[in-house]
Amino acid sequence: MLAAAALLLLGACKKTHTPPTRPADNLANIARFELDDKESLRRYCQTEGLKECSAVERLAAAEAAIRELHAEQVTEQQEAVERVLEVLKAPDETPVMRVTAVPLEPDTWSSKDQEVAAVLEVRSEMERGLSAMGDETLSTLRKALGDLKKLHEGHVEAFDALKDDAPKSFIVPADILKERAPAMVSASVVEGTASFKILTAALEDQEFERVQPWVAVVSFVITDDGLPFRSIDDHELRLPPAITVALSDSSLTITERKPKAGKTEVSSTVPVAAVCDTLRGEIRYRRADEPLRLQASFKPIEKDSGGDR
Amino acid sequence: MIHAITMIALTGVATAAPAPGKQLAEHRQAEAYQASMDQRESNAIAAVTNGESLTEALAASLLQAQAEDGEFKSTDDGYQYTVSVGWDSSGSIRSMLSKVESALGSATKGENFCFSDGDDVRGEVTVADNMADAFLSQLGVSRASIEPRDQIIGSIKDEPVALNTSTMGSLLFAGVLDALDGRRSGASLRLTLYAPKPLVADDADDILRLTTKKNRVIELPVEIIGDVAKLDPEALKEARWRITGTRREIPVDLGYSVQRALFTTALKTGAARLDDLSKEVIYPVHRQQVALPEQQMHLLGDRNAWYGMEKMSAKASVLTQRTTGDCDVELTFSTRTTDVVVGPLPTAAWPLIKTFKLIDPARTATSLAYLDEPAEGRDPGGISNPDFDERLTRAGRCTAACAAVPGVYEQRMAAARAAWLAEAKELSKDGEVDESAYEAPRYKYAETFEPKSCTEVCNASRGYAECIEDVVREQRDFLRNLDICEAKSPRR
Repeated sequence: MLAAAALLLLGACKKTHTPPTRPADNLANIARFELDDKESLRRYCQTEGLKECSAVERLAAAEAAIRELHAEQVTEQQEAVERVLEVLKAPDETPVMRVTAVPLEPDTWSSKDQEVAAVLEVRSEMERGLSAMGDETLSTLRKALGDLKKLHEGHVEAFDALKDDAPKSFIVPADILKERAPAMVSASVVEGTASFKILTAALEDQEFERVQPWVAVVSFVITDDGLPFRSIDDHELRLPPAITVALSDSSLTITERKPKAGKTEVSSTVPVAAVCDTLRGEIRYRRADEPLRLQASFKPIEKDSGGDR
Repeated sequence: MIHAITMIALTGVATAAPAPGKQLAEHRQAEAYQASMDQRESNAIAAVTNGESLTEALAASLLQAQAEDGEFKSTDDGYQYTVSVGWDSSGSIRSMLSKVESALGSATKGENFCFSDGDDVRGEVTVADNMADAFLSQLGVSRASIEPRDQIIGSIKDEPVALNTSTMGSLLFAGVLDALDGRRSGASLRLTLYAPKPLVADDADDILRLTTKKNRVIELPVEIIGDVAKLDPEALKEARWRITGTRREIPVDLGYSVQRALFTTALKTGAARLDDLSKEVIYPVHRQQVALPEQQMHLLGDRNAWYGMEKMSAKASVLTQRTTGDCDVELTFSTRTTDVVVGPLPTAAWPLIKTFKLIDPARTATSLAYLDEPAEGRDPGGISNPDFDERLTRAGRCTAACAAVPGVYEQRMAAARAAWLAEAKELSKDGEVDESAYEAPRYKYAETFEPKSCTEVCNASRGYAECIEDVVREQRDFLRNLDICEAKSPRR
């Protein structure tokens, strides 16, 4: 009876480090044996003097230690990624732009009812994206990225060391390997591009939403009854975002806008009469997902009720 | 119109020598005059109402939309608000009526038309008799539809019935009216059904024949439900009502509800009774619905900040009726509340919305403008426009100018050497020249010129850029001027 129990134990313990071999091709559909459940294995292995059980315990301990370390590292890296993303959320200031009206040529007009082309020159100067997001943003981002890189390097070192300490037959569980697959962090700033690896698990479930880029609304404006800023016509200029951030489960890519100066022209047809109503060029900024605030004015329509009496 | 002509002819026969041609001409003249008056009135009113129908224009002037209350509903995209829009009669109808009155020409006598909101008369207009029909027509009402009518209230076998031309036909109604003449209220009349031929057709056909599976035939006598179905149509044509106490015979017409009720009774007993008869005058109500002008509901905040607009449409009921009071004809305008769904809008937007303003876009123009002042003007680069534009194009100009310098430099050096050689040959006795004795012109800085360095300095210094560009463009005293540019280079 005891012998039978010992044999049973041996069989059970052996199974843990001698996995069933792959069936031959002609047995491909045969059902495999199931592994003993861990709890029953633990109870049997409490019997002293079973060296196979000691091996099992060492493997189990190694796996537990690896899992614990991995979980800690994932948490730390997730927090470090969050710090990077937090820096990237800083809103950018409105661009620096100036509108200048090209002088009209009244000598060429022939009627007060005609419409003429009017041109506005728009000069813009956009500083580098990270500077537009605040004076400290560049240095803070550099530090956050540097911290993340160092953290990962330290994590790899610590993980490898722990793995080396494990029994030779120890294999890192597949789920951990999957989570430790490298994910790329890449930052392309004015000074150059840098990239490094972090754990894939550090990017999982991360969410990032940045303010929408600015849109410059360049308008021909007059002052009308009760409406100080009535637009005759407007033009929208979509401005490049300060930074673009592409976040997926396997990569985080940050691209900074380079500084840029530019000049463009917008043209509209305006009624000559409007020129006398303080026609001018104005510029306003709005986020791409927000409209400009408007004001309404209501005026009774005067109808000609004379008819042909 | 044929009827009218006949009347004229008959009158002529009865009185003096007939002159139908002349009378017809006069009649046509009168007819043309009336048509021209109607047209004139129609044009005048159209001018007042700006193309809307008169009733629509009056309803639009009188009834004013007002946002009353509402309730929020949560959706995935934010909150929706359903606003209940009611209509009150706060609008002014008088100015439009005075325009109508002046368009029609003032009339002190005629038909008095009143316009009411159901509680109060909000305006009146007096229309000359000869224009009243056309005016009614402009209001979408035919005179016949509102003329007062006699009616008799009574009962058939204790069932109350209203007797009038539409329920019993004009012939029988006239007969009943005659029979009641001089009789007190509550009187009864007996109507006998007289038919020369049997009204009910032979019942021989009223047998149901069934064939069993074994081909045995079963015949069952059946009664067809519905008396009319059994009637002999030919006999019915000759059927007459005789009203007791009169000698009239009135053809039976089962197209009228009261005659059908009387006939059902009379078919069994030969006669039917109308009881509790009393005469009254009814004033028919003409009902019509007119479209109210489409409304725009604007969502406004402080300083008339505009947050959007919803459109709504509604209809008004207009009841037209003759009256016995001061008004000959009264038109009553009313409408129901209308629900307008606003949104969904983001939660943050709702506290900003203070008013729902309703306007009729045909009568009120809406202008939208920016609420906020323009962005504060900031100078790009803190420099003037010409300086900015110069800076913007400098990189390209510098690259081109600096790249051109070495070529021109080589040309000028070669030219200098050639000029020396020519001069030396001319001065020598035998034309032989020791070319090794040639010394190239010495330009301290130009000799060390480098395009790359030139471009860098050019991009950084407007003065250097203009100097180099000028040297390349003009090429006058090139080597010396290039040396001057290099000597003045800020990097040197």
